[in-house]
Amino acid sequence: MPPTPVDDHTEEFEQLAGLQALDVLEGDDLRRFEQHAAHCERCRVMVQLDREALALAAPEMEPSPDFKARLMQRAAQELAATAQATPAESTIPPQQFSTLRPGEVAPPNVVPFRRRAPWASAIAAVLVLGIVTAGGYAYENQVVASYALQGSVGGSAVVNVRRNGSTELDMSGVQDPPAGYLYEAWLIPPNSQPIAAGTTSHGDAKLPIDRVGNGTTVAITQERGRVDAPTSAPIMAVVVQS
Amino acid sequence: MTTFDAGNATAPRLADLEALYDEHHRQAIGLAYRILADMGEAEEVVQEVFLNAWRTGHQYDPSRGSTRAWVLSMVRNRSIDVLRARRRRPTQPLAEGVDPPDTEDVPARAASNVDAAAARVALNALPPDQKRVIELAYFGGLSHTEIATQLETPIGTVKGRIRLGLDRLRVLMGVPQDALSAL
Repeated sequence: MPPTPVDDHTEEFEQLAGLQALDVLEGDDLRRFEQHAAHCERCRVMVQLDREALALAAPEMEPSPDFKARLMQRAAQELAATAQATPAESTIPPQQFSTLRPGEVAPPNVVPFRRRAPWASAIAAVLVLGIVTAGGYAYENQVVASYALQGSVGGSAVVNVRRNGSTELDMSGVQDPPAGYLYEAWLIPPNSQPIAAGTTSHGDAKLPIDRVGNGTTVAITQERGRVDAPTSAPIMAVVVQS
Repeated sequence: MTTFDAGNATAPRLADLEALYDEHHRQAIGLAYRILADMGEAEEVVQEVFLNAWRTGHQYDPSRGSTRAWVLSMVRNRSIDVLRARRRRPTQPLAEGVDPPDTEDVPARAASNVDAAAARVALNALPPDQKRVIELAYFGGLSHTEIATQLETPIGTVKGRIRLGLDRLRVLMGVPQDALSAL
């Protein structure tokens, strides 16, 4: 460990160390500090400690329930890919993988490990992948907010916002539009013109729509074909207040 | 606290990653979420950081600092990168209002580490104007100039508040006395 503080160490450098921990040093200050810190261990440690203290000031949190499984799956896939890219010939005779002692006979319901490994591992891997994928998909697709449209027609229409950010307009039980007409969805941000968000010719439909900002009105009109601006009053609408 | 076992890291083992994850994931997620305010993005950042740490653990020199500091430093840097990239993209207002982590799904954990608890207490004990500039710099990734613009405050005042805040933070944490006494 070098003898520190170094000769040119001053209180100013300790202040600059704090600014460097925040990554806000610029220009001459940054150059001077870097030159000094290159041979001043005390300043380098101060930067590190300040950064760690600030990082720890954030409250601890738990990730989503399947996060660890997804992480481990990614790592396992990388290991598998690496192993595939550099296959190594095993020099160990297959019988050494048997869990049976010499002279022992496998009972009928026990498959020696050396025979079970290839297909059993493959099935286990598929099952694990399936569970992890399904779990992740389910979590990401959870509806985190719903807004029911109000209107003068029967049936229902709801704006569903999912955890992954996707948003859809879910129409259910609404009478189909008359022949030659369709339903068109609109997003109307505050103090803005309506933005066409999709059409359907059925009263039961799911329309993916863009993310909806706070205060935006989601509306449905009945139109003679797709139009760029509504030509009639909405049959259903809701103001999204997030 | 354990240190990352880099001894045999030329062939990464899943057990190494799991140990690293188990020890540091709550702080890593908490930090990423504090910066990004979006659990999906926070998890992406933390996943990449843990995988990167696991892949490159053999390059890590423990004498340069604790494993925790190393991991959290990567989380902070990557989160700030994502935050800056997001600022360059058109805004998506609903993400802010509708996509927070469900408190049942992602409960904030009580501090399990004295240092972490002390850090939070210390930051919260700062005068509001000092705390604000430090948070904008560290968690917001803003420069002096950007902070001055956002707060409509002279840049010299911003620098002064940061310096005073950090000095006070060090005293409250007891950092200089404990950790720097030998240096």
